Amino acid sequence: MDILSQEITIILVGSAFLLLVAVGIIVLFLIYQKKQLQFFIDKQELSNHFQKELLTTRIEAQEETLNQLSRELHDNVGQLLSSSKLLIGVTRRALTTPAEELRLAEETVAKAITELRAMSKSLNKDWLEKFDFIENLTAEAKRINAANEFEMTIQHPEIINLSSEHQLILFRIVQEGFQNSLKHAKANQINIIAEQKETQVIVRIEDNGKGFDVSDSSRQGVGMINIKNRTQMLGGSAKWQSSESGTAMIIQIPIQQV
Amino acid sequence: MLNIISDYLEPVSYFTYLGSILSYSRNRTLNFRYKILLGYYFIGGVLLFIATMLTSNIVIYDLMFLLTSVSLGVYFYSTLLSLRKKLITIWICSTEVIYYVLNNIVFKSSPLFDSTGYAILSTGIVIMIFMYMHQILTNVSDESLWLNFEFWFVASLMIYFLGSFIIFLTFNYLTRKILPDELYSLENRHLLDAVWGVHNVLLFLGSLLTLGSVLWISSHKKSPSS
Repeated sequence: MDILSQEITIILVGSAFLLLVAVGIIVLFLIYQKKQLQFFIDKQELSNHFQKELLTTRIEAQEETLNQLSRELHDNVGQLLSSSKLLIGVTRRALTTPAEELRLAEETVAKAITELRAMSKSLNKDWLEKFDFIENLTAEAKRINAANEFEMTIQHPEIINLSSEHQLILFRIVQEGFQNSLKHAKANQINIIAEQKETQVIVRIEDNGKGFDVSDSSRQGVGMINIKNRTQMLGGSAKWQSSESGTAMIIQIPIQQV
Repeated sequence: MLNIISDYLEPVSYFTYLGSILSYSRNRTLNFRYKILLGYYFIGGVLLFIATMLTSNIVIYDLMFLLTSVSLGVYFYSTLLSLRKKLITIWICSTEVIYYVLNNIVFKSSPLFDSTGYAILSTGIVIMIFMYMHQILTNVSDESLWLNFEFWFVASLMIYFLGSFIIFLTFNYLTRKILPDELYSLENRHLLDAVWGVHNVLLFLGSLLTLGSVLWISSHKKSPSS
């Protein structure tokens, strides 16, 4: 073999070696990136799990606070109102010509006691757990309609296919939703449409309030954040559509994840 | 067969690259960097096809040096994210362009293959490839690399430019070696063609890798179950 052939052989061997190096780098890179991706996914899952735990704990704490509030309203304020009603009644009966105002006062206190009991019930987790979402929502609508200031209508299926715990969270979401309509949107008409689909539960809350700019994140208050957090905990989503003639909040909760 | 590999495989590879990128960018918004690549592979393919018909095609290879340097430089500049990497890309590109101007316009180079220029070019491109790889490692995304067209394209460039580095570096030396009358023979000429043929095969392998990746990605994105 002459020198030229020898040199060309060396060049070709060198090129083959560099080609192998290039292929090796690509293969190593693919393996390393796969491991890195797996690590990334694990980390993400861990973070999601932690967030979910955190949210659950927070909601449990909130439920406990609501429970306490419910007990306080029932046992303390409720008792005070009952005593006041009793005293007014006794005073009215003791007078020969009781003033009309006293009768009105007694009636107002009686109404306040009924309202307070209903409110206390709706905040009480133990009470809520005895009923399903639809029963609770119907009771809530009845309570709101009783004030004659607002009108709330409900369309619902026969059952909602969620566990009682998740029905409670969904109920709190809906409660937060129509409270927003009443407090911030100044609405007087609220329609709640609950649908049971094959894979998900959809609840739509519509109002005739003044609406708001959905894209403006600075307008999102604690209520909206709570709604988002709670739906996220159920693996679902919350969306708002708003115009000057009203707002619609759409809650989607997947059934398989709950 | 050797003649076909030596003469036509280069333009064929460029047109394979062109077809792959066109096929990938179908149904997608055409990014600036893909437009640059499409232009590069089209002009490059046409120039290299013209080169197959010329007796002396060194001018074409000198033009290819400038075209490759600028096109791939712009491609990497728009692909790389960090300022430092972009500055290194500009520096590499400028060095290559200055080299081209000095070698071909100021000093009028010899009518032989410019080994030094191509060695500088492939070193520069390999540096940019490593910067891209480093970028992938530091910016972890949830997208698999197997379905990342950019990665496979850059990998094909690495196979070509790293694999051909020694050929680029020594081709001028080998040409000079067979030029004297006592060594110039058909056998030696064939040996030189074989070396350039290996370079062409590497280029073709790179283009096939890119084409394969486009087919792989499109088949996987069509069937979500896979």
